[in-house]
Amino acid sequence: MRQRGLTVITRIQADKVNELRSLLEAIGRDINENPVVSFASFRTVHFLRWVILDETTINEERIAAQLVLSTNFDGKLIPHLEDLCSSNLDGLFQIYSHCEGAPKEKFSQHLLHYLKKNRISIPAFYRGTAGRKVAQIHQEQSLWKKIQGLLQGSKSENGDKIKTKLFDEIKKDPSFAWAFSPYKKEFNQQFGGITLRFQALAVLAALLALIIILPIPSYIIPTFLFLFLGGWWIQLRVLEKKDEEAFIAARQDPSEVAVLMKKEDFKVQNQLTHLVEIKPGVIRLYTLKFVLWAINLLASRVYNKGNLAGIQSIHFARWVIIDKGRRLLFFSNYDGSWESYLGEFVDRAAVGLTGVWSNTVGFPPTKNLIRNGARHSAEFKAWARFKQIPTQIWYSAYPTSSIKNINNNTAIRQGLIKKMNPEKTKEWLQRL
Amino acid sequence: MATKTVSMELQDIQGLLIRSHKEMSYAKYFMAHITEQEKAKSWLSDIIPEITDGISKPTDFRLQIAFTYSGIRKLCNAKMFGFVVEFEQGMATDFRSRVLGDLEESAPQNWEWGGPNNKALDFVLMVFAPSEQRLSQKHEETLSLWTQNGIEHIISLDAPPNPHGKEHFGFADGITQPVMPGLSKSDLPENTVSQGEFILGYPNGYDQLPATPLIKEINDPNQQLPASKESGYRDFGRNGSYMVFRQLEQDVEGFWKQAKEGTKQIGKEESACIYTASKMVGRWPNGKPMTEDPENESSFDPKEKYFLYLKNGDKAGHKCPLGSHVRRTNPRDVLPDNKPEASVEISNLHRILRRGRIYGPPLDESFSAEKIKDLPNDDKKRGLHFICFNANIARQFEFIQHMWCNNTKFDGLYNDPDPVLGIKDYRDRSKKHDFTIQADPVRQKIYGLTRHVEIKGGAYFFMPGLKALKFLSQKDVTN
Repeated sequence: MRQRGLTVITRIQADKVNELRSLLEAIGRDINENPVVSFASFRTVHFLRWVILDETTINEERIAAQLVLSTNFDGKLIPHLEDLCSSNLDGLFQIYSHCEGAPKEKFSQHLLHYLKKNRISIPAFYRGTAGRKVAQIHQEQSLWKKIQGLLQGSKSENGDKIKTKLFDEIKKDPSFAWAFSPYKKEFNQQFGGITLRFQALAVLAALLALIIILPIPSYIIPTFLFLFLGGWWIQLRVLEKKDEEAFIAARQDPSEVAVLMKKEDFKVQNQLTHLVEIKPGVIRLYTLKFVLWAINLLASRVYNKGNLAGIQSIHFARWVIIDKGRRLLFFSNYDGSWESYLGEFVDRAAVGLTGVWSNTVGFPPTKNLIRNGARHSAEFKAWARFKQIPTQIWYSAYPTSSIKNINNNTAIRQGLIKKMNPEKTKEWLQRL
Repeated sequence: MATKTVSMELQDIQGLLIRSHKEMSYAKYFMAHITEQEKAKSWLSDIIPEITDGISKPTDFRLQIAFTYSGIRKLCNAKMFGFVVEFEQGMATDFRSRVLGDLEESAPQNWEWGGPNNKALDFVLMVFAPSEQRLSQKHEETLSLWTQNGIEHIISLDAPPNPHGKEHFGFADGITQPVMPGLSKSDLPENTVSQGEFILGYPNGYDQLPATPLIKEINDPNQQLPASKESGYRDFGRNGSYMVFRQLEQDVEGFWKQAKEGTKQIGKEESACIYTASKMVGRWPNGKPMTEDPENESSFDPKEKYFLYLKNGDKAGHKCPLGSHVRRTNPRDVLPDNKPEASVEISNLHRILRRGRIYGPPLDESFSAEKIKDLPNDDKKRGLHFICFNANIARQFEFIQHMWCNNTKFDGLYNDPDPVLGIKDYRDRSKKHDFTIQADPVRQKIYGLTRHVEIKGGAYFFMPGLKALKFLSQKDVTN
């Protein structure tokens, strides 16, 4: 089943910001037991957060405080909204009563329409556990646990015998009946890369055909493209030079960082909410949009098996552009510590994130859009902390599972019912 | 990535960063609290000529000094910019307790020094001497000078000789150290780590200068500090380094009991507990890497310290388990999700210079695991004064401790922390942890790990260069 992302952004009533903040903070402090939102009753949610974006001024224009809801969910949008609104109508009604234009009467359909109306598009979305529903992730974890129990105290035998025995034991347990129906990967997980290459070829071929067929001299289109891209590049280089001269490294304020640290490292996963102004001008905005489009394409077609260019610690991440192209918002749910997450970014994916964030204010100096930037490791991390904002509510449906655990569990489940030669069986057993 | 070599200003770098003073068998660390700024400055000024630099190797004794953030604030009224956040916040914060695993008995509230219930720690004077007599002489002399100079003595920690080079569980320790280029001792490229990973003012693993504490030019009217690239500032940090100091107390009997219990769990005779313990460590007691001989403690050729995992065909951990202590603390060429060369490169962004020494008497003078494993604890305290240097505490020391040692999810594992440190997962403290020994046809597991290393004290220090020390000792750094 496909996982999707929902981002809803609503303006908070000016006099109710602090009230809302205390409400959200109180819920966030006690995700499991709070009386307002029962997160456990959501059926479609992997991760969910509510974040307040404080009032601010950009270019002398006031931007009111806003509330952002961000979820990663299974299936289609409407059933997800129904899940949100019906399972926790009271809680959501109470939260949204602080926002402008929220329904006055407590009907789940009204709330659903309100959320749907204020939904914004997600130009770049990444999934590390593509294809698996929340329930499946839980089931497969329980299968792993079951196998651990079965192996405990078992006598040493050859590999094939061990596997057969596990199969028989699990087969006996009716609560694992689901494990015997095969699980298929998403189409794009298997063929996304190949089809993408074909599509790219097709686009090139179409361009070529256009050059040949159109009744204009054949040099016109290439020349036009060359001038357009060349002009774009020159403009970008000019902007980069200017930015480099004006660059002042962000200085971390230990007390501000301490506020963020207070909420970190309670689960296997951590979260990041990062908000930054986009540099002024169309060149920057459209460069950013193009980079996000490209990242999204690669994320959905190639990097859809829990491995983003060598980073195997991201469950879900997204970039959204808000405030009419003025600010860029980044959300991420990742395994491990902030330091290791940002470190992996720098060490393995500096090009991609420099391509995105070089278009935003305060980012370390870049060259040709994707060079340097995040490779200024210390400056980049300082900037990332500087632009990080506190997340009031953050929920994970499986707080003790790492991406690798989840993906390994799926492979165990798939292998259990597969006939294997001794060599493959040997490999499969190493996963246990 | 080629490591850049820049000529080092050894005369300005404190000696402990360059060498571990092994010839000095005895060491003592005097912790202090400053009560009067002016007097303390004058003591500091008097002692600077005795501080050992990176060139000289005096034979009577060697002295090094390092300050906590509060110590630096007490000696310098002007604001400094650009210390790493970890140093400013200190080791004893709730966040760091989670990250470092300093919980329950090891919580800073229970520490003997450096914690919130102890006297505020401002600096440590580290004395290395060839004899006990020289050491105690220096100790007495220093304490009497301190009482006259507005400095309160908090605690002195002893580090006796360690002729076997072993830690108290009975295993050889301190075998692999990163080597900086440009020093008299050179090493293989994979173990050569950029100077700026350990000393401020030199290019680091990213070929950039590490963040360094600066001070406004007007606050250094005599221009004692080196110039900074940032105009208007002088560089306080140059030739300095961050020093992590943690007192780790070891329950030797408990460790071996667990090894015996684990040995039974994997279906072996209790007497094979050295095998199990060695699997946990990743080396045999004599230092022989598991990758070189996974079954027996054969003799250890020092060249084998350059062992690699992938190269030895041990990706799966059948020789050296994925979760063993040495594999976690330095994954070398087998960092998950990386090609071997990239893995070495990235591993080297998380290295530390270790300068720790053991404390307390060994359970058996021979330090032999064979003997120690069956001995009950006596009433003496013993452990390791863990000391290490790095230029970025969060990326180096804390990263190793948090993401590699304490992380139960390391390298795709599910529920396995470092089996030697045995730190419980702060995320679910009621949970029992495992140690997995990867094997054919299927892994073996030891359940119910317990903790046998507790923290008794700790702090983050900054060990300044000698010019920076002179600046601190100067009278008129005020405005």
